[in-house]
Amino acid sequence: MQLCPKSRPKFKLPNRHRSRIDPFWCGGPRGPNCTLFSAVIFIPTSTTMATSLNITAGITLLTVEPGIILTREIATFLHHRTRRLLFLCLRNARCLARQWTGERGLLRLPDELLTQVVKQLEWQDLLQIRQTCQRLNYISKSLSVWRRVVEREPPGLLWLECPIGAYSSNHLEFLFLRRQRAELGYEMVAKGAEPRRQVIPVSMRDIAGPAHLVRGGRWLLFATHTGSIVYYDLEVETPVAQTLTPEHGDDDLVMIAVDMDPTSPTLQFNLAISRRSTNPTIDTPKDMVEVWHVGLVLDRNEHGISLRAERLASFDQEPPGWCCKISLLGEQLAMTISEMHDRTLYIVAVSWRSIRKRDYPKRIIHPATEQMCLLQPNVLLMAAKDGIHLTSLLSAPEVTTWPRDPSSIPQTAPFLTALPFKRFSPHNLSDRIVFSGSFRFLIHANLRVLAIIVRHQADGNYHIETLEILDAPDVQYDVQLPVSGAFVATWPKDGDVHLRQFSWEENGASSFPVAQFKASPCYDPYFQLFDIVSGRLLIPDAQGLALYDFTRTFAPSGTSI
Amino acid sequence: MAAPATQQIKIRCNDEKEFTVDRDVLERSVLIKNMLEDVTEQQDAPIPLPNVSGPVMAKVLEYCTHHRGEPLPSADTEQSQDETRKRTTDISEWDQKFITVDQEMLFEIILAANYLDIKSLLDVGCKTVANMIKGKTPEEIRKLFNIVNDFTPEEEAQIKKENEWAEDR
Repeated sequence: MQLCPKSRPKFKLPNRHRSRIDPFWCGGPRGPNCTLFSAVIFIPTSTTMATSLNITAGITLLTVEPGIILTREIATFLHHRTRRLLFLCLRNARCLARQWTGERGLLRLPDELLTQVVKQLEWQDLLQIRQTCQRLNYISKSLSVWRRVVEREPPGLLWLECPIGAYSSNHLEFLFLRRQRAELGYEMVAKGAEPRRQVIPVSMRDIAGPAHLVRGGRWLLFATHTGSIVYYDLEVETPVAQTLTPEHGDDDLVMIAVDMDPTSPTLQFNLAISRRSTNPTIDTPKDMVEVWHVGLVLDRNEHGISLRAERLASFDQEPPGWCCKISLLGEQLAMTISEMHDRTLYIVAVSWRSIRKRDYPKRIIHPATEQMCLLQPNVLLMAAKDGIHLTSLLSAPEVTTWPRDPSSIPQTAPFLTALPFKRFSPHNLSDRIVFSGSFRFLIHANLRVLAIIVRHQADGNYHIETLEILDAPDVQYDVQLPVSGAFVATWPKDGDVHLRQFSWEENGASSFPVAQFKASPCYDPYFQLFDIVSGRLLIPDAQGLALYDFTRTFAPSGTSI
Repeated sequence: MAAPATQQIKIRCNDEKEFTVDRDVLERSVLIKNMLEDVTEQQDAPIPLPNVSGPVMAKVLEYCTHHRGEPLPSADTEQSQDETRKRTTDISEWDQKFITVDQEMLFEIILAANYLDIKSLLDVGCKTVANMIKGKTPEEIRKLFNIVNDFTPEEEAQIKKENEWAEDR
């Protein structure tokens, strides 16, 4: 319903009230033009709000919608009912006041239409328009405006751990602008500024294996030597260790793999753990494998506040031996194991959900390589000296017990091989990324960083393509491969950390330097984690785990949640 | 049952100005379309449009005539992802020329498009205003639209401080 007087009444708000409009004021319009409507109520957006304000007893509130324009008739009606002067002007209805007072120009549009205009603006313009006046400031903070900003972005630029509907406008704005602040931070570091450094006090001796920064840059996971997986919420001012999985005993080395659940609206992933326990009471170390489901714990407002883990599977690793790489994809788990006795590498693939007891069914891929990753549930990608191989897990016979004589293990043959270089020496293979219908990996090999693109074609055949995206002859240690579209490299010769960003394209990938700065990484244990969206970088150094925050490269100010 | 496209409809604006328009042109307005569907028998009385003045209606009708026959956007559905990602400068050449009017007329057209429920025209109007805002400083925006700075000096300093990191981005 929208009613409008044929001609606008001509009265002006007394000047002394004009500045006091916000959030609302009571009073009466005075002057000769006001005789017909001495009671005017500007109704707030919701009727409940009006009711809760207890505007006045005896008023029958009409069904009011935002944007209703009071006619003289309604005003007169209200006046008769209340018999007193009443003028409530509420923030949400301020536009009406302007119409009645003859305001012209942009601000005569009701909030609903102003919001539609503001929704068309890019974030930079939003930050400008909010500095013009109270009303546009208010509108530039509305939820629909920031949802639109976030939805306009190409996927991947922002990572939300909850459905977009669960976020307040402040929170969305914070996350979106944080990404922009991070970009600015990289630029400033490239020009010589120092990123803010904060040390998480953890001794490197307590960390039992490579850490994992969950996509989105908020949650850091690693294993401790007590066998417990701990996590840190990096969003809080002083991150502290929280237990994700309970203590277990003494663990030498723990490998973890994370399998994100892309279908879940809130952050959920499975976590595979391979641990070697050296209990002093037994002679031989015991190798165990566990799979946990980890989910976000939400508070009443549906904001993620912590992580919770639930164990889904636990079984003895067969064969015993050092697990140097683990890959988890759905029900499939693949581990590269250096067998305890003959020190030969085997890849053991199991369907972990169906394991109930010892002597569970498994497939053995041999010859094996340390650098491997599950491409699809039954397809394994391996990077070896003789090339990049795709092997079908089904080509290896299923066995239940580990053969007494390992030489009897039949060899598996890859169904597809690509050799990027004659002397290919792979060091470090990234996790799998699905992009534009194909599987993407980065690999550090031959002092270069290569992109691997595997396409599963319509005819059922696979196609492997490798592209050099960085020639890095100075790299002496491993290049840490990507976490959400970025990677970090250290050149230990000069102690510099080099950050590079790479972006996947339809038919390839490119990389360019983002920033470079001095740091003093320690290499035991070796991991560096970088999340480009949140602007967070983690490097173990002599003081602990150094957390660099690029969004705080400049003076912190402005929006917070 | 849809009436033949040649049917003529009379409308009357709030300044008593009347227009006689082809029904399919007028049906670009969802408000009028729904009204016409509710009325079963032919009426000679003009439809009163108390929120729109003659000059504005003339402009709106110019738009509706140009776009007659185009499919109406489905009501109340959120824009598709692709449409959402479209940058705001995407206004067709004809629409751009059409919407090159003075500010007051622009706002009148937006209000009328909203009242008459002509989504595409409302979009063109809102995008045009947004394009006017783009790339301007707060002071320039205030000047352009005659906006009174109603912040206290303290508020203004605070807001400026919060947002200055993004300058020149």
